[in-house]
Amino acid sequence: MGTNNRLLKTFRGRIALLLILRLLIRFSTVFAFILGMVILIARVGFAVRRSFLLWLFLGYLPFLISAVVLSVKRIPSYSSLKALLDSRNKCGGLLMAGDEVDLGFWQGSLGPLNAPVLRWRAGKAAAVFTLAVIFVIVSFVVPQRYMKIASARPLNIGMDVKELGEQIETLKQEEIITAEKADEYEQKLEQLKDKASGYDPVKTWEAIDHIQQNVKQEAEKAAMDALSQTESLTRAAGLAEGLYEGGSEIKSDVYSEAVSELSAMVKGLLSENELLRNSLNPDLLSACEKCELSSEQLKQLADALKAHKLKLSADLAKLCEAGLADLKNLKMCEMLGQCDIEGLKAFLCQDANSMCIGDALSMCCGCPGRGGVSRGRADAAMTWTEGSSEEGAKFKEQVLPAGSLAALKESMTIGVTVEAPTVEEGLAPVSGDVLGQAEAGGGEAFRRTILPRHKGAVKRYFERK
Amino acid sequence: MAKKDRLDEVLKPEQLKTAAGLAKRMLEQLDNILLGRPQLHQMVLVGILSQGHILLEGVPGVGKTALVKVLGQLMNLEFKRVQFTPDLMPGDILGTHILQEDESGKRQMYFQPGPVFTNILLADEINRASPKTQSALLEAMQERSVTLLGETRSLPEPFFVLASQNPIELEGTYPLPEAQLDRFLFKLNVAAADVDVMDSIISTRRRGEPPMPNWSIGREELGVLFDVMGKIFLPKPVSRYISRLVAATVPKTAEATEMVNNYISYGASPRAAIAIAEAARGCALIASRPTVGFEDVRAVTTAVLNHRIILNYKARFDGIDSFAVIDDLLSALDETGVNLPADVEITERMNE
Repeated sequence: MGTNNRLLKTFRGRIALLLILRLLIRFSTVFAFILGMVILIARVGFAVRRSFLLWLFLGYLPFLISAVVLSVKRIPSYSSLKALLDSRNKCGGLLMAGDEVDLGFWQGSLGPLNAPVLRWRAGKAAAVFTLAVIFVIVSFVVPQRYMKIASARPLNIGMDVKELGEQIETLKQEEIITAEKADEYEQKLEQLKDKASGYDPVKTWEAIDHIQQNVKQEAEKAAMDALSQTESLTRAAGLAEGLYEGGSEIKSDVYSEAVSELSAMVKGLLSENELLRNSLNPDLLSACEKCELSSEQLKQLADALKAHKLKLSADLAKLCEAGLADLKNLKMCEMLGQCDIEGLKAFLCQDANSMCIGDALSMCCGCPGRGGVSRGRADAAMTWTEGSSEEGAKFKEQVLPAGSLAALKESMTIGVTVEAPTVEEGLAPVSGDVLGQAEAGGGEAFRRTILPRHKGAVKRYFERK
Repeated sequence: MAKKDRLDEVLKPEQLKTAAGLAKRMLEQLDNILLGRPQLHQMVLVGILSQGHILLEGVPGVGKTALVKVLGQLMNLEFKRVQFTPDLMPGDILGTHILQEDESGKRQMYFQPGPVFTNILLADEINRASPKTQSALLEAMQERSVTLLGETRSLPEPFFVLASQNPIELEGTYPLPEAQLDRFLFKLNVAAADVDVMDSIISTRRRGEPPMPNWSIGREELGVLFDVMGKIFLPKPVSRYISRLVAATVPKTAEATEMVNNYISYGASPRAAIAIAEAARGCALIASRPTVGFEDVRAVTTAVLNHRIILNYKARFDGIDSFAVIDDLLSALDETGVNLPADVEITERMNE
């Protein structure tokens, strides 16, 4: 009986193994097809890296556990397997009865049992499983470049966003835009970065361009303000320094007019620039108000204005460095920052050469041709010492465009007469253009009406023949 | 003492040997007296051992009545024959009360027992009697008693009804009702004898008369047989198989086959399961086995079920009979209940 029990256990174990293997292959097939599809979608649709996709293989665990659990549930009971062995070995129910009653003498009549053979027709299942495994391998191994849809995915705008972010930060630091405005721009940039898609890049680029345009507009406005202020500061600083340098050499009326002009200019600057106001001491401000600036105060004022001008120049340089302003603006700023102090002093000492203070400043400070309604002349400064002689002056020869020649080259023959044109007496003189009389098509000779003043020459030509 | 449903031990070999010897000897006698039908004889013996009633169906002249007569002689039991006719009345079978005058001149109703009061009743051509008369046997066959005018009388032990019917003559016949059919343990077809058998009959028997049995079983020995029958062990897997088999004959049940669903109107009753279990025990006894095996069940299933399942009209149109449906059921139903997937099969180990 012990041998038969061992046989029964072995046989049951074989059935269990076969059932587990069978269900495992089925579940593995399903898992492999699902995994293959997921890998394909992930790689084609989202260009997910393969190293990350390896985690998907963990999804096999539930399938494995389910297969084992379901198979174990289906393993036949000992009693049914005993019934099977009883039937196959023709025991006539004796083996089955052994489970319920004591067989006594009959125990010995049960000979050694033979376990039947288990067969599993696995051909179809194995073929489908192989296909599924191949599908997974192919979907995993195929290089990313063959995943065509993936090539059009995420739009790389990182560099642009970074550059724009730096520009916004510069504007924020220079207090050109408020912190709230800067935050708003940065939020928009973050959104763009997240939503940037290769399927529809136009929207993204348009949005970036829009922000970029706004930022540049703010920067340009700031640059123009800086240029304007630099010019004003240069003029005021130059005048202050000229007055300081000239001192007593300047006539009192010119000095008073110049100080009044300087005070007016400083007031205008102070009204536009709070920073400048903070940098001047109260006495100096008071003196400016009263138009009573001492020599020492003129020096202080000139230094303060120069310092502020340098700050503006440095700010503009920062904008240029951040790509927010043109270099020509920086150069213009440098030009506007120059002032011929000696020239101005000479003007002031010589009673301004009968010029008003504003004109003198326009000549000595900044670049010419940048006048406006409230400051100097709009034309360029024209200064000369003595008139030039016309003798021996040679003008450079210049070839003018050959308009008539080009017109001839572009002309085309539209007809040739085979016989001499007839001269009709009493023909009315031509009015309007000659081509107006031409007839189009029909193979007729082109007729040209000869003006009366040419008739004699034409007549003579034919007579010679 | 009530018979135990289940046994604590299997039969002792010597007990089984005696009973199996008697059964085999009876079978030998039958085979010797009636030539050429060993399988039929075995089934009849199984029916007798199971104390069941048997319906023999066959054309006239195939030896139905002879078989029953020999059985009566062989078992040394009282035997009566009733020829069923359309005008046969229940009283002609069960008996009747008649008015008689006793010695004192007093008139009294006396019961005159009918031919049913016997051990073996041959109901010849049972389908010729009217349903009323056929139904008279219902109580006798099931309860082994007869109730007349409120008085129930037991029939002698043992009591067997061995009925015969002719399947080809339909005119003037009354097919047995389902309730009546269900009371027969077996319905056995008695086929015509083949050439060799007929040659033997003609050449060895004068006028075809079967010889008298040279041995008969006594009442005590018959009691031993019945006692041993009750001790044949029915293992649980086998009883489960019988139950599944009978349940599967009912359409639209879990294990009903496509053929059952298509061709059967009504399946077999639990009485069929009891009959199979009993008959399988008889088979095991004849095979000298103390336990019932699946092969015993398969051997008796057709005989037990063929008259208990009711085919529908579609089956008749398609020419399907109950034997085809039962064969299909036996081949489709896995006896062991192992229930492996369809692509996994268990085959015999090839002998080297």
